[in-house]
Amino acid sequence: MIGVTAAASAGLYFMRGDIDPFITAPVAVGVTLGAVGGSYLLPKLQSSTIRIIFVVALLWISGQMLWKGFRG
Amino acid sequence: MSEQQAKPSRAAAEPDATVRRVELAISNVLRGGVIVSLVLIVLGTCVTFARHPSYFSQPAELKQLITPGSHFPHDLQSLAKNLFESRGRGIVTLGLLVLIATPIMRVAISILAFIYQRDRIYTIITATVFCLLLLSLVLGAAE
Repeated sequence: MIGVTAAASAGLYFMRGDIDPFITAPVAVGVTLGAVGGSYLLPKLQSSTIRIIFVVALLWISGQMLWKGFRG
Repeated sequence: MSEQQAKPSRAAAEPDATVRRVELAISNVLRGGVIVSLVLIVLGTCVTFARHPSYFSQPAELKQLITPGSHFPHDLQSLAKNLFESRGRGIVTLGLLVLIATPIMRVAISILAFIYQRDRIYTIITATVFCLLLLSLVLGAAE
């Protein structure tokens, strides 16, 4: 799930101790499951459905960012 | 005429099979690397929570664990020590290392593949990419 170009910088960050395993671990698992599940579902869903899901996800994330911004 | 037409197509079919084999080998490496690293990450997280059940009940301790800058191994020596003590942190870190090493392995495999295909130019290009990858790791570690 890491590209060849990203591997160079990922290795660097790791050796400098900037990759925190317990922050990265859930991200890695989630991204992989999402990528596998997404590529399985993508041909089966209509593009309008995907668009709605994407809009909802973006709204969720932007709401979360706004909330964190206001709460400080 | 038909003889001449048949010859190039047969010659073209053979590299196709080689390319296909190489692509399959690369896809197996990538898939294997991701699966192994995922298993290690999940296993390490489970080990951590099994050895420190207090993370479930004490949010403050859990918060300390996921705060940026918390202590964890980021060189091979302390990683080996962590693994030897079978600490979940070390297993998770090993999983992340496998994840980072997977695309580097992919480049290494494609060097071998291009040597196998006798494609000199691409062997040189890929070897250069591989050397640059390793160089960036070495230089980054030294600084």
